[in-house]
Amino acid sequence: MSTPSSSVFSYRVLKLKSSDGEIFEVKQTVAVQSGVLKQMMEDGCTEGEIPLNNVDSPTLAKIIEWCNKHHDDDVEGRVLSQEKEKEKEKADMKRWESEFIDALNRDELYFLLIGSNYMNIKELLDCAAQKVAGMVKGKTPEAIREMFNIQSDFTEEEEKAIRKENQWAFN
Amino acid sequence: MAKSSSIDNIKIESLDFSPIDIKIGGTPMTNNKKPKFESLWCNLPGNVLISIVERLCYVHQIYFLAVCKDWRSKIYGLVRHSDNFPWILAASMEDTLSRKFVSNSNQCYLYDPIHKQKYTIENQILDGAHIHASKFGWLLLSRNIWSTYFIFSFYSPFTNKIVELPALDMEISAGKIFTNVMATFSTAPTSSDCVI
Repeated sequence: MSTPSSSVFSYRVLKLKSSDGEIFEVKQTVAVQSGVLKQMMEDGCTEGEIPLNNVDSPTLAKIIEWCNKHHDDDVEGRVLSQEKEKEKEKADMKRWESEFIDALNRDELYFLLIGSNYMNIKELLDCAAQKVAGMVKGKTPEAIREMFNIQSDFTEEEEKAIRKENQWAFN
Repeated sequence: MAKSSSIDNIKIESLDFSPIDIKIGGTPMTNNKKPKFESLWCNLPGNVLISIVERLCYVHQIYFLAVCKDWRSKIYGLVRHSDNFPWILAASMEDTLSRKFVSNSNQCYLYDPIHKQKYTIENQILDGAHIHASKFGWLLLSRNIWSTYFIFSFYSPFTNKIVELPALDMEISAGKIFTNVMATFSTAPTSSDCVI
């Protein structure tokens, strides 16, 4: 392993430990997409295993898959000369992103939201939040509860008060 | 108050506020009772919830906030919504010789131009009220309560909130009152530097 040319990062590969004890090796240039890991790299405290207590191994695998896809590891070698190519690449990425998110079941989506928030990966969190927003859009509170298996914990009076506040929207 | 058009006796007023300024009002529900059953989704962190809700339009946010206590208490009053266009307020008015633009029913309508949805607002305060101005999601109304005395009040059709002001004697000389009163306001009535 050669020494990295950019000097702030002293290790090329990070060892991430999921909440269930699995170790994932991730290139620093990929891991930098996580605000939390980036900060750790800058502080020089990425030696050894980095425990991610809020992220289980299936979720971490998904997160790394996302980061690998969004990581441009060949920037110097590949010059996109034409706007068209750039546009196409953007569109391909968008398609990949929506396929990636759409393939998740409800629980996986939930853990991905938690994991990307915990690791501070803004693009992934945005993408997952967009997915949830699309799912709840236009749905009544009852329909949203049913979708996410949430039981209303409002008392009858509270429920009434909420509806009264924006009565027009519930008519 | 900008009058954009009038159809028969219905005057349509442009509701002159940026939807970005509107926060969903009122008080958050207290979270003192533990629910018997807890879904995973109830435990989403506040900033994740905000990230979701920010992508919803105003009405859908109202639904989202009514789902469970946990969501409501974490994001209540913190979210901006994604609508970028002003809504239209329509009220049925009658013109009398002495007073103009007096609402003749307890209803008005909100129209969301993006989703092409019309909502009906009902509040007794509207009936017989003179609508002076419409800004920041609030209406400035006045009504003649007795002789030369008028009461000005703010009314938010979105949250059904009313801010009533002290009665004002509008007499200028021996029983004569101001007839064509114009009034407007500088900031939302919930702000401390609101001037009428």
